[in-house]
Amino acid sequence: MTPPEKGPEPIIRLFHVHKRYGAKAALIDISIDVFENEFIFISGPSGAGKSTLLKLLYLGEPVSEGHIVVDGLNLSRISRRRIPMLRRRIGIVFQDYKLIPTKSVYENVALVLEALGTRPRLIRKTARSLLRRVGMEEKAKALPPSLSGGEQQRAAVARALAGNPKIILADEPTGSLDAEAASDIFDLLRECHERGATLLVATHDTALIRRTGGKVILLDRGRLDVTTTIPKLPA
Amino acid sequence: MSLLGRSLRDLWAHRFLSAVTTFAVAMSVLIVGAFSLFVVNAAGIIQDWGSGARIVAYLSPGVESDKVPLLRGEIGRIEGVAEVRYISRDAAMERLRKGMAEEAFLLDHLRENPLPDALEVSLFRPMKNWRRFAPAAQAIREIDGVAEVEFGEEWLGRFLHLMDLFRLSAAGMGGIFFLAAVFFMANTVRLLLYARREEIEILYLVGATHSFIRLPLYLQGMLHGIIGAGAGLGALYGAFYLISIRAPGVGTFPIRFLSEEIMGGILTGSVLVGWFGTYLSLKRFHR
Ligand SMILES: Nc1ncnc2c1ncn2[C@@H]1O[C@H](COP(=O)(O)OP(=O)(O)OP(=O)(O)O)[C@@H](O)[C@H]1O
Ligand SMILES: [Mg+2]
Repeated sequence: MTPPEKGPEPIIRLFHVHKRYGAKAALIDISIDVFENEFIFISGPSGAGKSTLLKLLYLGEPVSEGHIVVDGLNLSRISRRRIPMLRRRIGIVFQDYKLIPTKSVYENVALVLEALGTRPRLIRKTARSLLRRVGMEEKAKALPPSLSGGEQQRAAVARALAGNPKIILADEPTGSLDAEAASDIFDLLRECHERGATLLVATHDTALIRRTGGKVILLDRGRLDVTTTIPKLPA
Repeated sequence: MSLLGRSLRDLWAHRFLSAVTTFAVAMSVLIVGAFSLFVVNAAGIIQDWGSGARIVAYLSPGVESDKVPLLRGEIGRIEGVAEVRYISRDAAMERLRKGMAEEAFLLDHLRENPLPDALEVSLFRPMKNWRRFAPAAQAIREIDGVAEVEFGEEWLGRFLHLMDLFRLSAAGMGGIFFLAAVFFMANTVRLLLYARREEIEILYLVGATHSFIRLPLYLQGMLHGIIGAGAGLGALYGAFYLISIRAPGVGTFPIRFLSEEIMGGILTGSVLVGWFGTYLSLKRFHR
């Protein structure tokens, strides 16, 4: 017998969220529910507020107004001490990569696992296999400043996935990649989705969205324009 | 990986900045240490001169040497007197000869020793009790058989005044040096962390806890402190050693290195400053 069907729980909720940078309004009255194991694209022109929206979710920036709940944590009320708890549940691919410039690609990935208290042998195994997966095993010892944008981006993806996070926020994760590498990285993100992760991917690569299909949140100058579901194009 | 292991790995990863920081600590310690070394030894030398202060009681010409023990006993009972030594006129002449060295032949022409017998009276802790010299000298003067009493009251007073002045200025300058060193060390540590702020911010963003990020940084700050202080003291000892083989002492005072307490203080202080510098710079990363 199957248990009675419970409605899916939103894992991320935004209630009338506003974000201002000084006088500039970057997000205006955004309300969104994201359910567990959804794969959502956030799209819109440059300056629409895609990165800002993602930043609010990991407390990279505080909201100006409204409330956000992520995985049961109310971000308006979370204590400083618990912020790491929030961030450990989230893997982030930053638009500007944010790799530690003085540490090798391998160390950048391993450090996340170390911070989670993973055993050394497992750290080695996980970090190596992730770097292989993003095609960076040969550059494992390189320092980020010596890498191309695309290589840094792949390293950043590997790091975001290292902790096997429940939620993945990816800000233009394929922005610096050619079509082939981009679709590789996308395959990787989809694997994470299949394993149960919830994904929010900011991108203006509409071709990629159309190829994948899925729910799209369209932002325009800080406002939620439409939420649509784009069907996957037949191959 | 253990906390210490992680800290050392980081230290190595930032070896250039770490070396600069350690060097800054070492220089600060060297300067403060050299100053302390100077003050401690100068104070010792001055004390040494001062502790030579004595009252000399010249005996009347007719006093026979068998009366001397009696006189010594009498003087010994005066308050504050520590020791009474008999210097016979012959012994005094011998001293004079030694003191004149080359010119001692001049004394050969003397037919008869013109020097009086004398008693050399030293007081307990002469530096501290210099006010007792005058009454003690007065009491000695009144003793039968004592012809004349000599001591440098005025000299002693001025000397002590000088000593106070020296102590005061040493404390003042030492304080300024110390604060400057603390400021300098703390700021170098801050600079080091400032150079690493990007790394620290990223670590916060990927969910590392406060303690995961901060403990190694504190440990590194303290390691910079202790390694730098050790190097500074080592260099100071090297310089001291080179000086001391050439000039082992001044007067009867052997110059000496900083006491274990002072060295311990400098090491502990440097560790604390390393910690404090880390604390100051981490206050800014509070996200
Ligand atoms: N730190 C900041 N200070 C001031 N204004 C900011 C800041 N960050 C973003 N903005 C402004 O907020 C608006 C939204 O920026 P955001 O980075 O979210 O856009 P985006 O949709 O990610 O754009 P892109 O596609 O170019 O990455 C822009 O007008 C931007 O200039
Ligand atoms: Mg952006």
